[in-house]
Amino acid sequence: MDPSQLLKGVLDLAVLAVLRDADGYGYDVLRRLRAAGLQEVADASVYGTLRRLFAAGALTSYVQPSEEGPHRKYYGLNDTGRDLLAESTKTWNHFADTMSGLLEEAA
Amino acid sequence: MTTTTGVAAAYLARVREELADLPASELEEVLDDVAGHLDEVAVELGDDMTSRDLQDRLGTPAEYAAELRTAAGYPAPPRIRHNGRGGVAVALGAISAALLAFFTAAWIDADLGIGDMLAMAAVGMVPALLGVLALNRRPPELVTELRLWHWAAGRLARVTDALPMSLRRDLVSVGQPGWWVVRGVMVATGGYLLAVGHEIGWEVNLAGLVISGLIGVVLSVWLARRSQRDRRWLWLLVPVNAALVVALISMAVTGSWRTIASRAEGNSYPVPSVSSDQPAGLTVDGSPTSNVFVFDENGKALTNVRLYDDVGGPIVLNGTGCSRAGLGEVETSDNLYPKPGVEIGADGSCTETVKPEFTVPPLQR
Repeated sequence: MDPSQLLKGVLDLAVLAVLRDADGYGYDVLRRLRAAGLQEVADASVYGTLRRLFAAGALTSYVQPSEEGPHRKYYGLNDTGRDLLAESTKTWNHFADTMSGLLEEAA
Repeated sequence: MTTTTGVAAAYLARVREELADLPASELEEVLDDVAGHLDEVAVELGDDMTSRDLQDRLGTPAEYAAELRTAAGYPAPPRIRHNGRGGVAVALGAISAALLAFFTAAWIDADLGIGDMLAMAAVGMVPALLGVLALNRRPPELVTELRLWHWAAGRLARVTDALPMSLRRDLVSVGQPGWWVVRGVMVATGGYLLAVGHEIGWEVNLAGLVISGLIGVVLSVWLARRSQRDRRWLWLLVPVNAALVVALISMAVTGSWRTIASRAEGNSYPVPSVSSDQPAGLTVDGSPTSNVFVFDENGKALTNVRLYDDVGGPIVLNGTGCSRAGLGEVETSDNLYPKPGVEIGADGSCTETVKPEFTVPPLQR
């Protein structure tokens, strides 16, 4: 099974999760996802997901000067985003439990 | 994030084109992110990053934009079947190129004036303009979607892939700026010569050539850098490049055809004098002479005699003759003697006479 196919459905949740503790700019988010083990994540899809979550009102965005050079656009969770993360986490856990149970029966 | 340069800037420009249907504010926001992304990747890949490196990492700009579009939930791009339009545009452009090549050859061969050139250029450009209209306000890069283009690009890639990597990189990094310089010099000095070169002396000419050449190079390089960031400049650069290539090829073909033709006819085509800052001429005992008459041992005047020096170089003298159409006087510069006298008749017809005004007795032995 191709992990990148699975990832498509849960990329929102993954992005929200890596932004839970600290705000981050696009490449930051990408690095955190990779560091967490999601090697298959496509660069552009992370940037697209950030824009979609921002458009949905789940993220705030602000520009911050960086020491090394150009300004960077940071994204962070707002209250809507935190609610969405909590809700999505519940959905995921339920889904994961269901799948696990299904696979145990099959095994 | 305005520091994105070179390869990354070109990539960003292509992504911008792919997402051009987005609302302007969202487009700028997302491209701001993408520019930051490309900067980070550029730092990781290092200073000698090529567009190939960038594509290996991120996919083509189109693929990148498509991925971004899907993940961001942007509406699908407006689908336009423009392959047909691209084909029509290329066909019309090819007709223009052929016309212009033919006109350039005719112009050089018949020694016509600037007015004729402008008229020919105007006629030759008509199909190309129709081609532009056929594109229906789409960018000229449309032709890269043609099957013909893919086929040609594939063939070219097979050749270039056979070259060693370092040579390929040099070809791009040296060849491309080289072409920018050649293009700038050609357009500027060519334009300068056409505009004023024939009216003023050689000294001014040389200074003007150098100055116009330098200006041309600066402009050409600036335009090239510009077009990498803003693809709309291709509307200017693609036709200029095409016209220059056509001009170069037709000049080469016409030049060699002339040489072959004059050799085949075995007569003298006007031979350019060896150094242009010294007028062709003959001197006898220190004073210039305007003509040479040749007689055989019986005192018979010879015509169409060709004179050469001891190393086979033609002895050239300026003179006058009738145009090939026989309708007027033209300047000649060749090694054909004696130089004819020219008479213009009442009806404008031109006749050449080569009879000397004196006679020579037979040689006494």
